[in-house]
Amino acid sequence: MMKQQDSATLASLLSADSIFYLDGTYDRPGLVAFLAAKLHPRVAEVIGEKALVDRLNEVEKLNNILETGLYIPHAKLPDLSDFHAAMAVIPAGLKDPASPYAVRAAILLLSPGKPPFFQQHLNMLASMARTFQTPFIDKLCSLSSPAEAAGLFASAGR
Amino acid sequence: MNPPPSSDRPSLKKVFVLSTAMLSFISFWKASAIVLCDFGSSAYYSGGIAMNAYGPAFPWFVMGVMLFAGVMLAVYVESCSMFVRGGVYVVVRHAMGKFLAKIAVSSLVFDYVLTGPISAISAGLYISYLAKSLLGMAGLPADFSPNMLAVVFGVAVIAYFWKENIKGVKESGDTNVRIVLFVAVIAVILLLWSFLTVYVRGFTLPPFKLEFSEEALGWSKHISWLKPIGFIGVFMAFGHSILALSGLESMAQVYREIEDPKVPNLKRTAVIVFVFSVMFTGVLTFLSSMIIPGDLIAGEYAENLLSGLALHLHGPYFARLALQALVVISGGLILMGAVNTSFVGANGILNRVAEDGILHDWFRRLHPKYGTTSRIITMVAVLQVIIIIASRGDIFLLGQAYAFGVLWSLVFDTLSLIVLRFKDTEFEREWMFPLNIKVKRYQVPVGLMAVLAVLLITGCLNLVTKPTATVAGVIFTAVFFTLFQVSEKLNEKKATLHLDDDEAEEKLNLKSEADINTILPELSKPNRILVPARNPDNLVHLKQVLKTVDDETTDIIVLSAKVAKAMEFGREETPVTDEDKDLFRNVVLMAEKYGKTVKPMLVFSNDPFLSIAQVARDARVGEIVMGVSGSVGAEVQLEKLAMAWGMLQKEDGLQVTARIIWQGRELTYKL
Repeated sequence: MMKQQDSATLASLLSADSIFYLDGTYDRPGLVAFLAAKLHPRVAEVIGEKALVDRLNEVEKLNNILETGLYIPHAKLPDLSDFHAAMAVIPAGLKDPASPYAVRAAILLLSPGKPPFFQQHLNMLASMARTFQTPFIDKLCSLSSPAEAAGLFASAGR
Repeated sequence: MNPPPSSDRPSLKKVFVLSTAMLSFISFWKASAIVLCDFGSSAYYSGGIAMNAYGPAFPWFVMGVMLFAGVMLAVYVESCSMFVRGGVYVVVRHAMGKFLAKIAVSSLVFDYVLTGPISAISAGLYISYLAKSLLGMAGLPADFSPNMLAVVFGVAVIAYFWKENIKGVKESGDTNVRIVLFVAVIAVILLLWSFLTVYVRGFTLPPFKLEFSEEALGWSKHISWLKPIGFIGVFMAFGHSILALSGLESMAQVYREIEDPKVPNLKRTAVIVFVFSVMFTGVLTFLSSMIIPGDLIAGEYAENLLSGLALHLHGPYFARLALQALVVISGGLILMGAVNTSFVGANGILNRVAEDGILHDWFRRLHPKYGTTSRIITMVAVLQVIIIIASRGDIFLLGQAYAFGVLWSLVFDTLSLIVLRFKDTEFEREWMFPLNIKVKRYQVPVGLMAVLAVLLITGCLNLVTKPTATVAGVIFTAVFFTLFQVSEKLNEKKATLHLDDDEAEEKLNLKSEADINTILPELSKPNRILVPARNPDNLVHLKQVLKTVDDETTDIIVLSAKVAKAMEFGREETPVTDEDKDLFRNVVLMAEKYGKTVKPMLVFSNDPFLSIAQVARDARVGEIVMGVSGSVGAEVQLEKLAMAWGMLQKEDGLQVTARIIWQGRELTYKL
């Protein structure tokens, strides 16, 4: 069985300025809106902020929090030509009434919507789910700054 | 809430694995043996019965019937290829509706009910005559009536198989193979020794001269224009020999068990059955007529023709006597096999019609201990015992009656196929009976029509030449038809036609396993495919897998992953719903259609995609093939699966191919 090949790594997508440490006062839609607002400047050319939030909320009706505490709101945008991501770390956990799991890490992923990118999009989702296992999230939550978190990705070769 | 560490993440609990006999498939050799255990047994009595009816021309007509059997086998190949779980009832119902299907199945039940007595009596007669030979040789008195001894023996055999079927002892394909192999060995010895005898003594071909007995003419004696000569005489004689065709319905029963490729294997089965029957029944009957003196065929050996053949071969008496003993043993085995088949066949067909609501549920009540449809089995046994006693061991009388059920069930089956050629032109037929003329969008079945003509002429003539059979057959058919009509009316009044879960014909045994890992050792092939399924009406993806996968090298796991929000581990619950059973029933039907083995499983968890990924990981499948979900769509399914798969992987994760298949489209990605 082959190891998965990811042309875009998490380390390249998540730098210190795209990682945010939050308290647990957000709810799930609020968390998505926060990350969308932070990520929007990078994709402003292809979609407005409100449209982006609406698009994410539409997709999120079918999305769920993984049992590791990772939440990956995501959307595919037809006019996008590259992957973009922003991450929120919530050490206190964000409790969503619709799920038995608390969100401790959330990664907003925006992917190109063209069919040739779909394999990479799946690879990204799988890679995030594989990387953000419970011990890794525990470690992230124990750090105090986005810079440390970015360093964690870089040192782990993610 | 702190999630458990990934290393401690529990494997799937509450796994249900479907175990049913119908998930194993058999080779065409085994299928041939099962059919021959019924069809081949007529070699022991058809010659004597024919001789008794119309004299020394009997071997020509018995051979003619065996050659015609090849034609009827081809008819069955077409009908089986259309309906995996077919048979006369299903084909006739599809073509001509329930009314005629009830008549057809009534005549088929008559066939099955008579198979037991004629086979048991025949075996009893062979044993009786052997006993006479041995007692005579020992100088002991042997003045008992073989027919009476055959009656006693027959009743005992019926009682034995009644008990075995009540207990639910399954007819074993391996046993059938051993019986047929043994019979084949004896047949080869008989054939070779007979050819030697004919070579040493010379031979005269039997005359093609019809000498009908008074009894064999029946009512035709009183119809001035119906003279037993020429064309009419030939068909009359053919009608007296046609009981040799009994057992072909077994082809339809065995088809569902035949392994992939189904239709080619069915054809191979038909060829093997045909060749065996021509050699065993046809040629041996011919050789009997050439070796046994004519007066002895009509007299001493009328009821045990093959024993007579053994005793009149060229060679020392003790060797011939030993061969007679072997003939009797082989006859006993195959004839008693036919008795068992009569129970299994009658039980099967009556259960099938009961599923359709035309036999009252009372008949399908299960035995409290053995879980079998004991009332149906007992009814068949009682009828068979009554017939044995009423016949007083008269095999010729039984032979007369037997032809009724055989013939009319074949008429209905052939007629239905002709109707379906016009009614159901869209149906994809993997094979068609030859001699067809394409007229617009129809394949006009000239060949089938010719076969039907032969059967109808023979059937109509039999109605007048076999009064006992006609009266008995008509009464029996009328009684059963009335029973079906009344049952249907009574069932319609009930709130539901569905039986309790326990009483479904296909016992879907869902056994609970402690953990998925206890099932994994059963997956022994080098490749594995996981096919998640939820909707019993959406199995397009499973069909595609079954069509294309090599059963020899690939295990197919069909997984139903259900969301159970309030699962309680450790409690003995069976939260299996009717929808789950519908799903698995359809899965089994589809697997049978393609002759491929599947391992169906039902698991409960909070996240179906996580369940799918876990089973795929634990079973180390190479491919996950899903149908498209109407509620979320293919891309969302793949995304959810990707996240679940990723979550379960370690650093150097396994790779799996994920496919989603729906009508006309397919998506394939690597995870």
